[in-house]
Amino acid sequence: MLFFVFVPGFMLAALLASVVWARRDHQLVAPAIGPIEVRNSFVGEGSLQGAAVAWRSLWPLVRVEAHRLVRHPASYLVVVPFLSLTLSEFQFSGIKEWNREDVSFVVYTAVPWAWGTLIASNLLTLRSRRWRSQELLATTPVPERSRTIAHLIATLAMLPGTALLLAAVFVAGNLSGKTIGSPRVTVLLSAPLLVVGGGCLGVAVARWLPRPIFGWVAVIATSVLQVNFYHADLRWRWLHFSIFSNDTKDYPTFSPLHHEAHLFYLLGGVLLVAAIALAGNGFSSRVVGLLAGALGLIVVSGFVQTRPIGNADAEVFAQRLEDPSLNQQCFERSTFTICADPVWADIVPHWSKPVEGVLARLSSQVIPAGLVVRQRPLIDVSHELPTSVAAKVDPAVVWPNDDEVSLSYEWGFPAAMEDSVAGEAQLSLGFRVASLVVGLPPDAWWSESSRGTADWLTVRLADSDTNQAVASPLSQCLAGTEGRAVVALWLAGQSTPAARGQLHSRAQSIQASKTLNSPVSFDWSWNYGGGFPDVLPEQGTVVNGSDVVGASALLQRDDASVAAMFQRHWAEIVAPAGQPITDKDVLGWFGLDTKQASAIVTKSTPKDHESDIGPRPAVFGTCLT
Amino acid sequence: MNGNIEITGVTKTYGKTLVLDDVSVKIGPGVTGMLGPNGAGKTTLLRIMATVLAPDSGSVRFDDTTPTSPKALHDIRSNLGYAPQEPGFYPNFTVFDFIDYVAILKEMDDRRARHDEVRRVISLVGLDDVAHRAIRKLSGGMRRRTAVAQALLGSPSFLLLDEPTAGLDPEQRLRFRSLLSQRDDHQAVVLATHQTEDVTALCQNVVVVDQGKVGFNGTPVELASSAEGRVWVSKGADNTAVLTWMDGTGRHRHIGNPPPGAELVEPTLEDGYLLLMGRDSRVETEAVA
Repeated sequence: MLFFVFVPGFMLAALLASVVWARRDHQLVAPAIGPIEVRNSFVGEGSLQGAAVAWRSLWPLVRVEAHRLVRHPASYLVVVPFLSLTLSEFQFSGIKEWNREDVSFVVYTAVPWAWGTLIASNLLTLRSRRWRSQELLATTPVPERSRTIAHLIATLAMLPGTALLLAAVFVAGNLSGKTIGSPRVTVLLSAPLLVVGGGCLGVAVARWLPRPIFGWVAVIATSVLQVNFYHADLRWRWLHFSIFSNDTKDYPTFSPLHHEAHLFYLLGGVLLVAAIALAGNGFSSRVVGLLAGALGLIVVSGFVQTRPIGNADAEVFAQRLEDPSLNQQCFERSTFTICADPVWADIVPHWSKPVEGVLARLSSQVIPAGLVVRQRPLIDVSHELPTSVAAKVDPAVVWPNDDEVSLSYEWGFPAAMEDSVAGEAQLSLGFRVASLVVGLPPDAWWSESSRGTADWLTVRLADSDTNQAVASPLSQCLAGTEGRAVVALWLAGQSTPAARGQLHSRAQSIQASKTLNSPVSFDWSWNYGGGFPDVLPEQGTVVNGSDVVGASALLQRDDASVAAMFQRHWAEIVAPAGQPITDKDVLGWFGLDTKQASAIVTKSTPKDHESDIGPRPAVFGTCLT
Repeated sequence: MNGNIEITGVTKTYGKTLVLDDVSVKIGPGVTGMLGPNGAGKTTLLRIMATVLAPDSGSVRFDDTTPTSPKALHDIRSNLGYAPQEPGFYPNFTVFDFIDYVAILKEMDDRRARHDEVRRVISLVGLDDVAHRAIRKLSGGMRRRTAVAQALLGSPSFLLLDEPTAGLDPEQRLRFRSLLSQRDDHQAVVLATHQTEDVTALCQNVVVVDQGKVGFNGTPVELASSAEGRVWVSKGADNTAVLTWMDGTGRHRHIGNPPPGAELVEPTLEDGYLLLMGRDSRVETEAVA
């Protein structure tokens, strides 16, 4: 709401102010003299176009125009409201992950800056017309064509400002303490192209539609195009100026398509509007060549971005999905290894916290050798996977029932933050590491192998006889009332302060809602998945509400004594003979029963946040032993 | 370049309006005044000389160069200084910035030399004190001097000034005359003006344009001489005169065929011009008054 009121309001006020400012000096506009002024042009005399000047003579003009452009208030007036809103985002909203939200930062900083540059360069190009100095300028050796070139080159002067803007947002974000990771260079590089493109568009509009109002029309037109291209079919989304369309829904680190081609598309766009601007002073072989070159660049880069994935590329894509280690960086810790895409390397230390917290409570003898925590790509309804790739992928290989703890590419960033969301994420990861330790599956898994067909992506709906994408049919282990579930939960809960708080919160919610016998899984899938009732790999093993309450009650005790008790009973916990030990058995070791555990949880300090514990549809598979 | 402009058979129309009709005139080094009533075609002729407008027919030659190719236009404009009636100032520019901008457009590449030249022309027109003042804050006379200053950049071979003294106070007008008297010998200066005093004081040649034609082309003395024996004074008005008005002494000055016994006086350039324009006496009388 603030965005839709504040930004247009500010820009309208800026527009009115600029009109008042211009009218103030209206008396300086040269009056019309004689009938020639009816045409209001001294450059329409095509035969009087002078020869283009040498570059040597152009640079002083470029310097002057650059100086004027940088000092023009339009850019600042347009960017200020957007920048203030962007910076306020850090103050009032949650975590920002640079390497996933870099596109947004470009949109909210570089695009308004580009709009401002468009207005500024448009007004500066129209300067001679607005003040009717064309008559004087037409008598100088530098023709209008050369002045157009100078205006176009001068737009490069806005690049330091672009870098400063992005840097300011980055510094502000980092100072807020709510950001993680680093922006992608290829995304950031789109910013200077957008700004220069905006400036060149301002010049082009001035040369073809020489009224200041058309500069504002161009701003509105580009914003309308932005919105429509964003919502357009994937085939056309690449035409969007400020995003890498393939990054929004697909697999940026797995797709073999060359996303860098978008930069060439933007470069082609810049050259195209520059050529159109120059064509305003007449067509020449060079201008036509530039036009053709720009169009060629756009077409080629567009094709590269949208071309159907060939068989070889689909093989590579599928291979990367099935074996993410091909593109990962692994970090060795003393008791485990954590592997992530290089882009996420900065976040790895934050992910490590709950893992280390769990393993620190265990003796080296019980920690599985070669324990690996690895990023894996999600393959579910919220992700668009080309069918040619899907046919080559076995989902059971992408999300296997193995002894690695998996993090999806959607996971992880809140784990860095010490807040309630971090608690959920840390509890989730800690629980899955602990599950593996006690012999439970760490993740949900794809139970049916499927290769050679993309049918697994969709399901045929009986009522409409159409295929529709469905939530992934992942299997989970249901370990409710098992003693090892309580142990795993306790290990996860004590791993970090945020996880401890989160487990308490869960237990209290279960108490309040009297859902002790309902299944509970640990994830924060409300954060993604598009609202589909999907089972996510991160949900791992499903437990009962009573297990959560029991683990929470144990967390009220001294951690060392609880850990010592578990160590004494470890053989029973991980190797149940015949009948597995139950949660009641575990609580019994501490002289507690479920009722007493519930009482402990009820009396403990309440937490200030709610959590989602609703039952989920699930396909339960065999739990490991 | 040597400062010779040769205009041959130039015709220009705006729609159905014939503005210049087969105009031919030669302008050499020195100051040439261009006189004529409003709408006579002075500004159009000046614009054609300034290479702003192309004639419908006829040609303009600058020494040995005609503006028929981009290269020739470039060469001519490199030796051209032009002060239009209203240059269209940029209000946010200072005097220095504006003249520096024009200097850049005149391909003065070297920054230091260019700034020296800008300071020189600013000093010539006496605007040193306001050189860094925004143009919006200047008086009308100061702006006119700014317009003249930019035309002087680089001491061009062809200096075309449209109404350069309009709005100047007497002191500045004298300063302007002094300025033009210091011109280079090779410079051709064309002064389109209504101020016959300026023409008398400055010009070696005078061209009178009327209704798109050249009505006179000669020296100021010749223009004044054209009224020899046709200017007289009397105590009262004489309705037989082409033009008549009361001068500052309270006597009436007449131009036309003198009545017998009239007291003839020495004609001025203004008398010659008014006699030439006499067919529209009422208008011209008002203009002179």
